[in-house]
Amino acid sequence: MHIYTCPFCGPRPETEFHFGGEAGNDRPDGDVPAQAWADYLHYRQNPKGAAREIWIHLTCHEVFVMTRDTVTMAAQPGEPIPSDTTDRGDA
Amino acid sequence: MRDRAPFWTPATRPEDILLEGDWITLRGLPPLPQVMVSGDLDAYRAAHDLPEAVGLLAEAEDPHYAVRLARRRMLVVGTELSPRDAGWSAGCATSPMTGALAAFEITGPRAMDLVARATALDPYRPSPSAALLFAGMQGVLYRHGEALRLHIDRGLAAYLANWAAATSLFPDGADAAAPQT
Ligand SMILES: [Zn+2]
Repeated sequence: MHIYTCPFCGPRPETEFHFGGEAGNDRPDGDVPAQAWADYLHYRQNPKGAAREIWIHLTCHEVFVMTRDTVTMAAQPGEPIPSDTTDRGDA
Repeated sequence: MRDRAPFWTPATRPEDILLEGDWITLRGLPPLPQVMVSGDLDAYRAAHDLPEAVGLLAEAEDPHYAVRLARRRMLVVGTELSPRDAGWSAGCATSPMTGALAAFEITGPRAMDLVARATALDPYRPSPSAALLFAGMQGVLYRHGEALRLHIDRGLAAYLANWAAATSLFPDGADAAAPQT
């Protein structure tokens, strides 16, 4: 069992989390070339080593960024997404 | 039309569930008044004279208390909310949860053994949120007096009883968890 760390709840078993894709793979905006759409939809970085990923903590619905080593599986504590307004306030 | 009613086992009332093992008891409670509050939790607590919302395995005290579920969500126990009054008000969304969540009490010196079978959480590490996956179910777990209190979806009460009965903690559990008619 891996233990991941939700920015709000702290360390929790991996079964409480859902993978949300690579961090930084933002939806292209406006009139974009086909290649940008293809990159967004179909092509991933899949780095060896540190990978920045979006994860969701299913019990509290927090969406956050987690850096996970794809070789050792070591996971850094989750970081709130900077643009996420819900992480301001009452923690 | 063919009568399919006998195909289904009778629904188990949570308050009819009672499992007794060696040094542990799992008991369903009659419906507890509950309200889900989302939004400005501090404002709601101030307006309703509620103590700080408790986190995982933390101690909650009657007559009414709040249990933290997320950064901006908590479950208030001991307060009834009419569906007529639910909705957005003063920075908070409120939803009646009395019928939605069934509450159970786990008591006895081996109460935490059942928790150990249900989740890989570190029981000695506090967490601001009392929400967890308990035996695969979304649940809420905190202390209340001598007991651990667990809230789960009411429809999963029979599953909880069956799951607990199948652990080694309740040697006579299989009979006790059978639906009562
Ligand atoms: Zn969380």
